[in-house]
Amino acid sequence: MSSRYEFLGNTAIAQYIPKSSWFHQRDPRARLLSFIVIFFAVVFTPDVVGLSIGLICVTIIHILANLSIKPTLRVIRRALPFIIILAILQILFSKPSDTDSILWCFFGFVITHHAAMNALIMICRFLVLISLINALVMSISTSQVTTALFHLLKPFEGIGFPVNDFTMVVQITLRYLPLVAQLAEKTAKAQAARGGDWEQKGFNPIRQAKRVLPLIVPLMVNSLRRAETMAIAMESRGFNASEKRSSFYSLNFGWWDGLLLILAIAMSTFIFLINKLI
Amino acid sequence: MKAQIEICNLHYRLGSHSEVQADILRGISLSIKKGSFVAVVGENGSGKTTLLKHINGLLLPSTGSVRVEGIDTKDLQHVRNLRSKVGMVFQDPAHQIVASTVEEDIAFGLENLNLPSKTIQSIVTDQLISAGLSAEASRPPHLLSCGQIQRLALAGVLARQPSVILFDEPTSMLDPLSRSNLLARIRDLKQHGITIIYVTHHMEEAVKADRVIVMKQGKVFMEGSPDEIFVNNDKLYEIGLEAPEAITMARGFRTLGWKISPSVLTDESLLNTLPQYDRPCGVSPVEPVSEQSEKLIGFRDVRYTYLSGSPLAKKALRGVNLDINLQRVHGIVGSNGSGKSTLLQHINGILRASSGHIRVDQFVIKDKEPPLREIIKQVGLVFQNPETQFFEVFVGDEIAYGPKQFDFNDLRDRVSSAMALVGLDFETFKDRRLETLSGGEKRKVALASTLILDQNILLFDEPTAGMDPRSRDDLLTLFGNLNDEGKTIVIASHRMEELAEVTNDLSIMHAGQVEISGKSKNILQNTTILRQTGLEPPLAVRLSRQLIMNGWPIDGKNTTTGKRLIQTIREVTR
Repeated sequence: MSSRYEFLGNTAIAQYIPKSSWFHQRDPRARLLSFIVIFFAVVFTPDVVGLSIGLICVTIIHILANLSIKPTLRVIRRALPFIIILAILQILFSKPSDTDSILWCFFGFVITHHAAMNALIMICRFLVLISLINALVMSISTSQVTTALFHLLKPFEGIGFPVNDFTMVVQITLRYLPLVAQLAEKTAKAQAARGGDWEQKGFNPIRQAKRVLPLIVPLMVNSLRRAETMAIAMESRGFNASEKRSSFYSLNFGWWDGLLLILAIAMSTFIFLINKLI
Repeated sequence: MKAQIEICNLHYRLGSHSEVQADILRGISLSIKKGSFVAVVGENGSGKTTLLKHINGLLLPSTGSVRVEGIDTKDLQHVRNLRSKVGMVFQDPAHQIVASTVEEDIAFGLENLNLPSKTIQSIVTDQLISAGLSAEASRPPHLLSCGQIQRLALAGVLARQPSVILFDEPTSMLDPLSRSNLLARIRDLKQHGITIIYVTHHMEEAVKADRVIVMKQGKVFMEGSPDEIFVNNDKLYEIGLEAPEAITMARGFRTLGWKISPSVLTDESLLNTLPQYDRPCGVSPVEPVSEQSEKLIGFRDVRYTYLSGSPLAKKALRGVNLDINLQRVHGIVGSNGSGKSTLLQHINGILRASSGHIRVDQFVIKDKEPPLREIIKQVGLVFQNPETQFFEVFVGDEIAYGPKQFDFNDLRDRVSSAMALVGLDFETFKDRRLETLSGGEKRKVALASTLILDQNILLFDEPTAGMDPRSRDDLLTLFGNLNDEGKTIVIASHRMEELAEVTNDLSIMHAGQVEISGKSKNILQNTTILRQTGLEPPLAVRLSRQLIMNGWPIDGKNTTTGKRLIQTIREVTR
């Protein structure tokens, strides 16, 4: 069984496993940009057909990157209750227009065909986005993200954008999330080992909030303390935001990378415009 | 030869404009030559780390000056140059890891030097090889073992080719094998002309330096070569320190009339000077009557996997079989990552086994049953570095947290007696803010926070890590007292000398399994299995084995601590 204190397992960050698939070999800039364009296409596509093509894209990425589907299904299973609650709220509280066909009426709530369709689309959209983000964290390391960002934003240095600072902030944030999860795990265990109420069963939001509240303050304090130590460590290792830095990675954007990007842009355009084409 | 580091009348106080705060450093003057190995020792809170942070300019003197190769640390224009010359390995090496993978972390310091990518990649590859981390190059650092993180931290520092390296208690979290590997690496660095400044609580490490600086309350209390410092060990004990065990043992042997040279400072030199037995017969040691004891805790084929089902899954327990008897002090010994902490967390039910059978007193611990709170009434657990897990503001509230969860009504009395048990005065400390306590006091609060629940089974995870010798002795005495009160104590540690002193029984863990269990005196004699599992027998055991080889009629099983060894020899020679 998985322990209830393994907060690290619940963070999507740091789930990256290095592989030598065709997708993993592509330039991080091409991979990151591909994810970004598909992400926006899935967010803005208005109907189920677009989302279906989005799902096909996610499947292709899983195949190209040789990713297991299990972690993605696990993340979906965790998120599903929240998505369903959101969908129910959407159905119950959407305002029916005069032309909507009514499916059901009860206790003053009116459920229309349109609201039900919107809720269904929302569920599908979330599922595709979660699968896409999961594919992203499993196929591109946090450092590749920061390196790609650094090189992609480099041209903006000319207009005064602090690229160095920005990418370092992203890197530290990404490095920090698993550390915060570990800190939370330690503090929760310390409380539980002294009788703290961490094992209540069932869904009781008030009890859950009461359980989490004592964790927040020590977590904040410890995180700040850890941040201070990390700042000292960075300083002692010669980091100075005002001075030029180089990068461990020398990126090389090749033909295959270009092809990946073109395919991603083409698929995104297709996802976005499909309802206008049919 | 001109000194490489010159510290002149250094004073440091927190918030340099405040007159209220006392100075943390009070008039330190030192000069350190290039290529020397300087150990800095002193009790908790004596200012060792603060001194270290002045050398690479992380802290700046309130008054006085620090110069490294002529660069004044206050001269901000030369900070980059200073940091290139002086590297630092932190007390908890995990704190200095910045990047998301091992290779990128080594590269971090080089990126700051703005070197070309190709050069960085080549240096990183070299460092990965010399640190033995090539296989881990793409792994996230938080998933490495303690020893690996330590090597990564050092590799990150060495990549920048510093001429001075500062080590802040680098071995406090390491098992004996990782510790001796690190010390060998440090000796190697010194051979290459790198100046080493090494803060430690372990005198047997300090004795290997060229020069030892003893600090007390922000001042240099003593300074000199290891023999100058440690020969005068009464003065050391006054300030909570003690001589290395080899020197203490040599003193003990001298009381037996043995001629041991004062130049004997290390384990190796002591082992080489032990005398041959030259009498016709000796007194046969008497085997004590074996004690029968009731089994209290039982593990059968217990398995546990961290982050099970995720790409980061790691098997921590791989079929543990273990019995712990009632009212005994049971040690669990093993190298870093062998599964000791995971095992302890299964005894108090905070982790539940993936498979296998666990019985703790009247409980059969299964996936969901019994509830954790029921087990906790019987079993207390003090985590590793418990002072990092405080969640209240005041001492009294932190200690009272446990009884409050169980709605006990005699809170004040309970807090007061738990504080008395660990040696904290109730009136003085109950309203103190936790962050104002010294390291030793924090550890005492953490102990009191668990002991207040008065459980019958007490589990301690690396209880003495980072403690100065006096606090360590106090804690070992406390274990004895608690055991005398009838409590069963389980201690996970890799400090063999301490386990030899306090435990009745011992189990060796290796790669998620219990390799062997038995009476401590028997297990500690099994040098083959100890070495196979990355451990080192205590000095007393090594000495007694050498003495047996020299013909002495002693039984190694009764000589696992220094005191017992001297006593046994005294009886043999009487």
